Amino acid sequence: MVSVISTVDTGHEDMIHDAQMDYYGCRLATCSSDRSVRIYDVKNGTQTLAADLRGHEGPVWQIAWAHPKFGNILASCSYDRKVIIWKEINGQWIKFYEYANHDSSVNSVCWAPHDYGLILACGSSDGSISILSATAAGGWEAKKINNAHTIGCNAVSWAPAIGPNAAFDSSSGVRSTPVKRFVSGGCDNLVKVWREDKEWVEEAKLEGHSDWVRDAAWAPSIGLSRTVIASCSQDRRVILWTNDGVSSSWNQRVLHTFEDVVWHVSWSVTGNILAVSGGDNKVSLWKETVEGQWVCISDVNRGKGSAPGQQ
Amino acid sequence: MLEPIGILDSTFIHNKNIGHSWGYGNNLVVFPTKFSQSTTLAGVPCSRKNLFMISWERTLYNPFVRKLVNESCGAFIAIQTRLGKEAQVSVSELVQSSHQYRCIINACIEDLNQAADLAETNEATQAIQEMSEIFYKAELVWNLCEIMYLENPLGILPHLLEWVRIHFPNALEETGTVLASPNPEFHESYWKALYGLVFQLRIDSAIKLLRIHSGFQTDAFQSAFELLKKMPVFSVNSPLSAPEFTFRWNHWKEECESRIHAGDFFDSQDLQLLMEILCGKEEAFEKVADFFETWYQRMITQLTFTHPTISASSLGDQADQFLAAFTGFDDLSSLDATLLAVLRRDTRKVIGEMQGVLDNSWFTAHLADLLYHAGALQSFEDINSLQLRETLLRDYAICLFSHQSLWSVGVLYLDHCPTVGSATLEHLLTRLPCQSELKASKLIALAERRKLTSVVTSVCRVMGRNALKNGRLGAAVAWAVRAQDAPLATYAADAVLERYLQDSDFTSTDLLDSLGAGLLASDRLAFLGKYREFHRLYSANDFHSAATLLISLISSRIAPKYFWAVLLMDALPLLETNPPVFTSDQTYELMQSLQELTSSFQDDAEPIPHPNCQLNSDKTMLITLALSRNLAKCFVQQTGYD
Repeated sequence: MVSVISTVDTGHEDMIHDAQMDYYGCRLATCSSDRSVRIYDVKNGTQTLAADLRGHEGPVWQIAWAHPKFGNILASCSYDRKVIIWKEINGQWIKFYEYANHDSSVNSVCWAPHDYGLILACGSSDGSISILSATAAGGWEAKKINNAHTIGCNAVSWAPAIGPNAAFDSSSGVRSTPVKRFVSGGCDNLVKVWREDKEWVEEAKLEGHSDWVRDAAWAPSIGLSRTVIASCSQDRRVILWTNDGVSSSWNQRVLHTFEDVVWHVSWSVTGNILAVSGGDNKVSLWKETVEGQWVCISDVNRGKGSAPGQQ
Repeated sequence: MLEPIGILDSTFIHNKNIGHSWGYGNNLVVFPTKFSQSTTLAGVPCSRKNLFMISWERTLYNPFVRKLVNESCGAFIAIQTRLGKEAQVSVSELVQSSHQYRCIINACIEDLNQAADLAETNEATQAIQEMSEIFYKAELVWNLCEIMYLENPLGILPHLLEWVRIHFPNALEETGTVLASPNPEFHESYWKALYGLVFQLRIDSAIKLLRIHSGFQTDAFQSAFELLKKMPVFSVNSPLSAPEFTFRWNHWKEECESRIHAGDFFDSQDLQLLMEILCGKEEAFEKVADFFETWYQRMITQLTFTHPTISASSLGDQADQFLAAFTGFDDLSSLDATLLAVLRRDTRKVIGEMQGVLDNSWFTAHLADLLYHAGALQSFEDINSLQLRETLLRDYAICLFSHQSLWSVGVLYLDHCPTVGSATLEHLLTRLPCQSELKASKLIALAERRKLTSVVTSVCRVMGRNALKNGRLGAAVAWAVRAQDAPLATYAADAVLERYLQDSDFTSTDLLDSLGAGLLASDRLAFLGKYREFHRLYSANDFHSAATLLISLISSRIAPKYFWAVLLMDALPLLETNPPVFTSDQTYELMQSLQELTSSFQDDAEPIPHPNCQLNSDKTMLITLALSRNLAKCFVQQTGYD
């Protein structure tokens, strides 16, 4: 039983491109072709507009909330080639930092796990990926991976900070410093895994899609050594890439071939459910059963079958 | 219509592209969008830009289901506690637990049914009825699992028959209707009711119904009556062994068949059919096929008359055959597939099927736990059974964590996940919004008990930031100390000092004074503590100690430079005392800091400090004068000693 619990009239004047709930699910940010970013307070199923952020000069594609330990910080990226980091200070949202070093539309922004500090990855249509880090002095430092994806990068997603063997680490109270990694997807039909090794290096090139990769999402892997990446593409497929946490090889498995282009994949907070949406007018939820099968749990036709004595 | 979620909104008709994003827990935001990232951006003309927040697995959040959540948690913990004391829980104890779980489900169904009757709208009634049905199916499957996994596999059929009796009460209901009619034997369902009673081996009731027939005294009826009475019944508590029972059963069956052949029932087709059913004839069951609602009902009935002592291990094959004949395997409902898997004792399939249906995490978690302790999960070769149990418990806990108050129940389940529990709990706890001190304290206590230091730090840090934002500075300092967050502590301490400058008084001093060793969290905080101590000493007229402390604050450089001017002004009254409290060395120290301050102040590009922190010429003059006078007093005093 899936139900609509509330409807939000965003007041945007043009198409909405992204909506993100903050860490606690108490605030909702949206962005639109009308060049604005809006923030709502969500309480008991009602929303009130808290801020209308103007600063981009083109459609805003994606937004991302930073971890609350850094305060209320939101990043946005736009067709205007800019990335803006917004910060709430004394109840007022201000432009905290503006990054304008891309040559084309910036399509995706994603904050690194908070353990690393305030670090943002940005993927652009110019094919490069920027990694912006807040410095101790209060400034920002940018590193750039040029030619990450030919024609363009559409998505970036960080690997969780808790690496393999986390279960052992947490029980002993000692945490090893994990290696920074993220995944990206682009117009070269590729999904790539990047690792920071002083500089950013390409660690794996995952070939499987036959058309532009539209989104890639690294699954949170809580206490498990296995890591999973989901990617989706204009080839209408969602592919799950798994790595056992020991070897360097990635296994691929097609989750499903959909009726239309798949634009977006994302994992639940705990990584146990994958949500998929695209051009087929559907949102579906997928989960791996104990049988190792990925099933669509939002399929309303499953679970039917009347029980005796209940007619 | 947005499928499969079912949102009716015109915006989705114009636009087939759907965007989504996760909320906390089982919440998703969905919206129509355009993904084309090319330059053409003409949006679909549509005035409203709506978002929809959708959610699922909300059955457990219903107030009528709350009791089930709490009571089943009690049952779950009881099993784990017993295990803590003994190496293994006996099967009989597990059966007892299983009964307990089923009682909890049944109570919940009853509550839901009552609520459905009282619901004010049709939609509400329907929604509650759907929930009730979910639990009804859950109980049906659970009961079958209990029989197949926990009961003695040799005497399985009597248990299954009992299961059918409970879940198919229609035989009794039909009999009631027939008996209530003015002329029962001519009621159209008379024979159907009679067969129904026989199917469930309710022989006494069947005989009673037979007796009220006007033809009961005829030979045919008497013969049937006698055979029914003599029928040997294999029961759970039967004193007969299986071979002994089979011997008697075969003997009785031979007699039935010989009487059929002898034409005893030639006059009554209905009686003839009854006898053929008793003999387990396939053709007879074909004739009454419509009387069965489900394949498993028919299977268990038919086996009762053909293989009463069948063993659990043969049931899977039988189930396949009956299901194939009854509905076929195409379009198998999830419930049928699950029941089939239970009968085949294919545990993985059972759980997999139930897992694939939303709103079942309660069921899979508790059942898997029970089966795990019964050793029934061991049948998985490639998945460690402990891991499997953990995954399912974790899924349930995650579902509970999506609710504003049920999350605390979820914690108890994660406690029993030895490998992933702690990491998951850490992850989930830090994401719980803590709006109040009470909730924060609860979270911290939970986390401390489980040694999740990162959660404690994270909660304290967030609370510290909130307190700062709301101007509750003492609390902010206290939270920062608890979080061992030096930058936050410094920030909060600065805020306290700033407010002191404004109000000339310390607020929330008791909080600050109780921090003790916690003051060492940051240098600034340590200074704040020492400065408070200075005030205390001063007001207690302990001028010597106060003076020494003041000097040490400046000379150790623990005092932030912006605050030196304030300290120097604080020194003024002490400089005026006679005999002097500052020694000559200490006075020199003060002079040096004054000099350092006046010479460095100009090139400081800092924002304009509070007036109290500024050293204007008047103040400088005042301090210089006081210093020189004090120095003079020191000399006089020293000369006096000399």
